[in-house]
Amino acid sequence: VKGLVLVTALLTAQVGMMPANPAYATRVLTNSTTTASTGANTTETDLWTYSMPANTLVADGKAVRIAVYGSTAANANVKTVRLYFGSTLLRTVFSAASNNETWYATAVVLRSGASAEVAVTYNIISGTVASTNTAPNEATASPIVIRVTGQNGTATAGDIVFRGAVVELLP
Amino acid sequence: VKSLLVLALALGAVEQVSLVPQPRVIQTLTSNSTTAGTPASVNPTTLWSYSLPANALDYDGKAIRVTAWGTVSATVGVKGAQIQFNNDVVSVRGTGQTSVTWWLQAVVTRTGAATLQGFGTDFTGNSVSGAGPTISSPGISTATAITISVVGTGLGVANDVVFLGSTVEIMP
Repeated sequence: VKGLVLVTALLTAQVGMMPANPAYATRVLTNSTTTASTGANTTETDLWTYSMPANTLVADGKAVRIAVYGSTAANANVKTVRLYFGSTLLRTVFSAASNNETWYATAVVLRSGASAEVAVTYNIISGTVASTNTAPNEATASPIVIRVTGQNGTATAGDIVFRGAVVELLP
Repeated sequence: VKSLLVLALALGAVEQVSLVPQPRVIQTLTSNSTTAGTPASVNPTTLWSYSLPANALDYDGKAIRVTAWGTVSATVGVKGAQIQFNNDVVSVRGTGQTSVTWWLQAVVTRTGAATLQGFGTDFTGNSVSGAGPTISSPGISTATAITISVVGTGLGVANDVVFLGSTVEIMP
């Protein structure tokens, strides 16, 4: 009887912690609030990277949602932020003389084949919204690096600041 | 008893108890679709609130995503809606548009036991805030309950700002 009680308790506890259908649960793959800034140069610089494990997008229809955000320094220098999925540029988030603003971008990348994806990316900055459709050809059987880069137009340290990111897996 | 233990193993219950790392499943803490509107006043009014339990954000990196939406009336002038954590604004929108929808979202991540980082975005109608997204650093203890609320500010006509719905998700 004790064994039966134990097993029942264990199973109840397990079921109680499980979502209704875990196969369809959205999951956090990674998140970050670690600040990173451009240096005193005009080189395109990685401000945040995440290596998505191989076979995360294991079947057509699986997708990842990427949200990134940051800010710009209070000056009139031209600044450029880009969001990549593997070798594919999902979108140039902005390339402008952004002066003391916050910036934000979200992308959804959906697998359409073993080495094919469709993606939509939109961003907000300076009171405007803009979007881009892309068709990456990244091999899902290998790790895929998702990254944000910053590139100063003038060699001033800290012109572009990355402040946070969330990557979710949409099964 | 042996058979029962074998059954438990087969069903994964013992694995669960052995603290195998669990996937970072996002869960909905609450959702609401009870309409609420601002009164005939120009004072900020709480249109919806939720008490996030103490220690819900029990480690750094854990986050809450709040999404809320509604409408603004035909009254001419700037009307506003905010998402607040206690009294800290984590997403905000003021608009002079009339008879449009508004949408706010905030992701608030624990960076310390009493420090959070908020990031808010907004839309009304076909535009976003000229001030850009909202980055905030609320200094709120995660060891006590946190009140998450939507606050609307109208222009003195009832229902200048109407709350229509919200969701609160926890992101482990």
